[in-house]
Amino acid sequence: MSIRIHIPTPMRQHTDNQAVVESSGSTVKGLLDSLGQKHPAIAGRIFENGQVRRFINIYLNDEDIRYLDRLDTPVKDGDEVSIIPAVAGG
Amino acid sequence: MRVTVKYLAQLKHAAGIASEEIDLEPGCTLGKLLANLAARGPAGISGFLSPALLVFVGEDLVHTDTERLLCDGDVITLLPPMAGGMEVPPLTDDERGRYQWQLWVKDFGDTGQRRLKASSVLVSRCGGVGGMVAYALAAAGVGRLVLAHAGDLRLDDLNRQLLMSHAGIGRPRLPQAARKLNDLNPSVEVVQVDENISAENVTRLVGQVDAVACCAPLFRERLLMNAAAVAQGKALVDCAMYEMEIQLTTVLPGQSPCLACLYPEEPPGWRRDFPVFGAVAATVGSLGAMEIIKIIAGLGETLAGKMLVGDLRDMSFRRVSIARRPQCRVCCSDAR
Repeated sequence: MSIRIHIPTPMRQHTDNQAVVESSGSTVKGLLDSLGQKHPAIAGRIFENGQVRRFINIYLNDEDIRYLDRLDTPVKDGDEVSIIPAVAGG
Repeated sequence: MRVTVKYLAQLKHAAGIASEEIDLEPGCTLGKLLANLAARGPAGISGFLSPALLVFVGEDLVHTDTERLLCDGDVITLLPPMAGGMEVPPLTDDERGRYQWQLWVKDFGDTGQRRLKASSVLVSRCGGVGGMVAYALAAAGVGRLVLAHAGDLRLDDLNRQLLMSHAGIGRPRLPQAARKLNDLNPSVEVVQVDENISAENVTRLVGQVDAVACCAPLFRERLLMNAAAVAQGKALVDCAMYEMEIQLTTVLPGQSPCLACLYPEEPPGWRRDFPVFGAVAATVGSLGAMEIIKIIAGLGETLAGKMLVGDLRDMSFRRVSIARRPQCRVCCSDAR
């Protein structure tokens, strides 16, 4: 099973400039862990003490995982996960 | 028990009074008070008593909470969501000519145009993004634009700050912006505030407009505008960008989550200088201006409760849902 993770521009330096990385797992946490194994530097940008950093939101399709089952939210084939950091450029 | 009801903006004119004291049975809820006002309040106000009305009890925006119990001495403030077109004089022939192409938009028309004319919008800052917001709003005929932005134009602003000019390098940005806006549309009143948003000025600046275009390159300024807009029941459109990505969302106080629900704290490490193209700034600025026009004129569907995320690198656009953070210190009255 392969699920697409959208990588935000400020983190693409850690994914060889890939905007989308295919990953696998049965939960959002599993997906992000496997992303972190492939691209170790990105894990520290997303997590702090095992929690998603407060200024980063993770979406499963168009829903914030905070209002699903957080990192334990199950994922299925065809889902898309987006990592969306706070951006203030004006 | 006795409460005070205050009528603001057009409601004040419709009611014919600014406030009144009303005697209520103990245990009266907000919903009952509003029903009473609709039935027996000043003639002319019933049309305003819609779900869009902003209702404050004291400082709390509570209009969805009809079960709220009122207490002796409460001050209930009623604020229509946006300046309406009703008190605005009809459009002149010159205005009909200038705005003809948008007057052809069926659900906008004469009423929408008059609403824009009666409205005022705070834009801060007015560089790459805010400059485009202001330009599009001036073109559309928003009556009054309050621009807040400190400082002098630098050479490296010119790849994106489209209201500026090469000859203006080293000179203050605001007069250049105002000149460009009035060159396009002399009837727009442009108020120049030579300051960036701060804790000292934000309440006053947000207080003099109907809506806020949040375009500052620092989270501190954005979160200040968000808090003031929520406290005062003003719509806010947040326009942000990084490199070739854009983010856009709309905050309708009382109806949608706010910016602090999305980002409860300032991210460490965000820098004022970041990679970007002018075309990216203009894209998110134009989209933000369209949100403001829709809010003021009552058109279409806004991004309230949604965020548009676009990557111009591959032209992919997604809309994600934003939920209200239960303990949001800005928009959740229980947490305040």
